[in-house]
Amino acid sequence: MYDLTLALCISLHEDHMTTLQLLERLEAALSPKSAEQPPDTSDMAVRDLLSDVASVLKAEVTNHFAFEEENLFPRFSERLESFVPEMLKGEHEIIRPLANQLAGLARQALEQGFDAESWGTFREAGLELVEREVFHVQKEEIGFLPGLEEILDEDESTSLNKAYLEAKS
Amino acid sequence: MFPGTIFVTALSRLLPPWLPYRFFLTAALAHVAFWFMLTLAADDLANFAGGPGMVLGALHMLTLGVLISTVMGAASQLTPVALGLSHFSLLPIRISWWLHVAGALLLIHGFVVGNLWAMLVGGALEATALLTFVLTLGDLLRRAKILRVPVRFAWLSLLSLAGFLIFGMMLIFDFSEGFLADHQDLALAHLVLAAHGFLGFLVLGFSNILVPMFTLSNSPPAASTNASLILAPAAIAIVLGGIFSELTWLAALGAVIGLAAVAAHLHGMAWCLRNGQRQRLGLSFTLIKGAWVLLLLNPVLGGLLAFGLLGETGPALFGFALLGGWLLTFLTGMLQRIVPFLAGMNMAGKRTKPRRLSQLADERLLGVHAWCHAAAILVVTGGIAASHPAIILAGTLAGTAGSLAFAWYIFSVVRNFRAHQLASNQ
Repeated sequence: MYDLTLALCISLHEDHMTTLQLLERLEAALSPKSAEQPPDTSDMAVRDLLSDVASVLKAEVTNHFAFEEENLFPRFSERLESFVPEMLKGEHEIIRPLANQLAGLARQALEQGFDAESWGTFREAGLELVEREVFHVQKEEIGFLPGLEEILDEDESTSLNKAYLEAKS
Repeated sequence: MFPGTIFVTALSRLLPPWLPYRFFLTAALAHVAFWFMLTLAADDLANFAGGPGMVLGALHMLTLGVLISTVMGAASQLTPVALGLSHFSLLPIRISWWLHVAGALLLIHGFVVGNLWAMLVGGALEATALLTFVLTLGDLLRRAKILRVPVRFAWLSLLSLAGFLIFGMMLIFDFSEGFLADHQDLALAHLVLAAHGFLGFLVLGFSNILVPMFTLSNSPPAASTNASLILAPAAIAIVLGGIFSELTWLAALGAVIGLAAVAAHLHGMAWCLRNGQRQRLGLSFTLIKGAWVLLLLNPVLGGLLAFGLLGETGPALFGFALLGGWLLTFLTGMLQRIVPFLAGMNMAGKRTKPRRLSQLADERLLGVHAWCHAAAILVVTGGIAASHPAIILAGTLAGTAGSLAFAWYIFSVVRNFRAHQLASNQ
């Protein structure tokens, strides 16, 4: 979509797409009206959303974040500049515990359902995560991936992408 | 190319936040002043056709105070970021703000009380402010190697600026000397060059960067942007030809070409909305979409005005729909997005955990503003069309209420950003 050409950037971008789509669904489910009453977790749409929250967020903050921090941020700092990777890493540190908390709450709700208190906690954490993660993805899409396109060549991108896909699986 | 490519190095090269913020805070205050002044001028608005007084003062509080302050702040920050270049110096931007505020206040005072010296000195200060701004913006554009379409729109904007400044000073001199054969024609040309030229071209150009950035889409299709880049200046040139030659058909032809330019631009914007990764765009984009409808309506009103089909209140109706409708709606929509976004960018990478953008201010204030603004535009437009001062007054009161909510929101964001900055520095 962004004229990305390198396999690694396309993989990261596709993950962002998946995350953004989930966040849009989550944000819709956490609308102000939803505060009145916890959703019925036997409803298939609610169960699908909670399963996706648990799985997609877990993948985002473990594989995706870790791969960027270990393999891409150092390259970016070395070859282009360090402010962007430092800023993004700082955001990972804020988002990671939040996403883990939300994924845990989603798994718990799939087993036990929501009561007023657990739903309130889930809503609060969910709304914060949506806002922080969307802003984070925006920054990666507008600043980080185009930068990677500049500093990586095709061979390096292919080998990094292979490593990334292996780490994900 | 995706416009975000430019952000790679620019993220680390944001201006000191108080530099763009001083323009945005000025715009927020002037917004309140504009609606309040229009409230005082409600009796005279419908039949306004030029000349000193409260209506002319309110009109310039809107154009200089709100619209030009906003684009000066946004262009100062966005242009270097978008082009991946640095200002040669930040001093001209700082100077231009001081001159702009002093010049605008003096000029508006002169218009309200009919004081020629205040108009002349204020106009000269304002012209110096804008030429200082041109110096720094033009230098960036001169060095630009990317973003061909937005850069060309920006050049067209600066060209229009020269024209509307000359026309504006001629109009002021005419208040005392009375040398113009037709003051109203020149005033209309001044309005077209300022609103559709200087402001309009900058808005069209920057929309090709900002809308993809907020929707996370690719750049709009080249066919749309190229078409609007060719058609929009052609339309303005033909409209100006029509005004000065007093050939109605020529002005109407310009309006038709303007409509095609707007259609091409909006086609590109709609493409970004459809193809963007971010679909939930919030209240700011509700205003922006509303503004686009009003933009589409503007050449239609211009064409009707050319044929004299808008009646006695036609000039006021056209001017209000253009400035209060299209430009004010669009820029308040963008401003409520840019101000917290800029705070978020500047809060990142600090030791203290940054606040969420939604926690920087009470977003319900934006809801109040949006409803009041929509009511104000509709009611004032209806009041002008019906030539009914009481209806206009009701609309301006709604506008004043909305502008107070909007200013409260902008000041809250900036105050909370300041608190975060102080906490981070401790």
